[in-house]
Amino acid sequence: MDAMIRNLLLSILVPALAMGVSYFALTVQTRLSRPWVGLLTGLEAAFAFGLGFYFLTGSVPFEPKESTQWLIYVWVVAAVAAALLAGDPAPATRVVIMVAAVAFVTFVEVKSLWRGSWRPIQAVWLTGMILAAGTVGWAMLQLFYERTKRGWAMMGLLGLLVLSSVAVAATGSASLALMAGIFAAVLGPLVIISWWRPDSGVFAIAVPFTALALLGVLVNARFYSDLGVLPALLILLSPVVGWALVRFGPENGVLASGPGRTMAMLIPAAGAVAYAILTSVPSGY
Amino acid sequence: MKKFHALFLATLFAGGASALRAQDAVYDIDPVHSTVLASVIHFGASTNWVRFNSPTGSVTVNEADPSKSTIAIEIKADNTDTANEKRDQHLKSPDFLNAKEFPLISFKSTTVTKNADGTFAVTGNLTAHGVTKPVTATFKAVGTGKGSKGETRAGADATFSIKRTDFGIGATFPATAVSEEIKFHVSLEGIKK
Repeated sequence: MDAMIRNLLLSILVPALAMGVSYFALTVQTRLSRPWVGLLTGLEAAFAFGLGFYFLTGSVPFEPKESTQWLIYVWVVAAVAAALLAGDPAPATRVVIMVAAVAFVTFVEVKSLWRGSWRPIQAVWLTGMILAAGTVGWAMLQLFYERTKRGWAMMGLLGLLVLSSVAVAATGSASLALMAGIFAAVLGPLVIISWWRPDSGVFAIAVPFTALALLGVLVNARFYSDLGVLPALLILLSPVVGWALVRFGPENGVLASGPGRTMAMLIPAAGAVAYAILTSVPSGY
Repeated sequence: MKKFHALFLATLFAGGASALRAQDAVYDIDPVHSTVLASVIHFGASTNWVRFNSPTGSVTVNEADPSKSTIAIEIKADNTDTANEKRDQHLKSPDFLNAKEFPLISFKSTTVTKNADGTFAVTGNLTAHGVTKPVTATFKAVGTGKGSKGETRAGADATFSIKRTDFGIGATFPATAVSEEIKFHVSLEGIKK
């Protein structure tokens, strides 16, 4: 058990520390443009995630052979997307960038299911739904992020990853839960930066990464492990709630404040955690 | 399969002079009467067993030249059975076998060699969790007999070990929790075609 705890702590703390330094360095520098900062942030985060993966599993699979190993490359995809989006392209171009990034992550995560588990029509339908949910969810998170005070918005994104990790852990998949935990650890230091330098270019990575990481973890947990439909949908409902609050919510009062919006957005994901814990089979295992 | 081959050969060589024939004999593995078990050490405290139900495949026995014999076995990763539903789910999850992504575990022989003690060393490629590695199993013949429908049946036992992290199985679990070594204990029964 000691080795397990040591590996867990190293896989969380080392990436968090490395990215804390990286975010700080990229924030205080003044030479690089925002697209370059977005790209570098994502690539360094991919490296940090790889470190966490190494401490967790003892290896870094540069040639991914299974869907969980592809999660390493979510940061790289997010880095490219963040760099392109930081250039402030036209709305149509933004949509194309988002769809392309979501399509890549969706494809690498479901390709095994196309061969082994899904019937052809089912495969097309489910892949289409995942693609649509990923793109729409990303757009909703983006709006929530843009219209909520930066620090609270970042806490909302981090909270989504943490709650997803706990929900996945409750359904019994330790490795997937730990992957989500490392994702949260790599993103985590951005919360501190968000209160210190809320306009830093490093935040370009925040929403693309959260959307893609959530997509990758949920596809894995739902289709390769035992995360139920209801908790998966509840987690997906959180971005919808966040979007609805900033789009249609009150302009004054608790639900208009950063903490109120963040807490409200996380309620469905917290419900997913509660449901997953309450329905997990008490087997003595 | 290699065990089966070895058993069959050993039986033939030991007591079945009349059975010596140069041609190949092909046996289909009987999934009901064949067993694949694996054991690990749990937290250094006890031996835990896993059964992989319903192995399928075939054994081709060349009685004149054992090296030309072949064994091929397939097991569905979804057939993992530990007599505990939650543990079965966990073993089939991405934490260990990732049964949805890698639904088949297979063994295909490459060489068969007769040992001095009458057992057979069967080397082949084991594919599990999407990784293929060579392993060598020791097969020992059990016997041959006639089934209720007059069919010829033959069987063998085999053992071999693998290092689970070589196959990326349970990579997030240290050896102190689940031993690195997985010991396999295989009993095959084949029906002659």
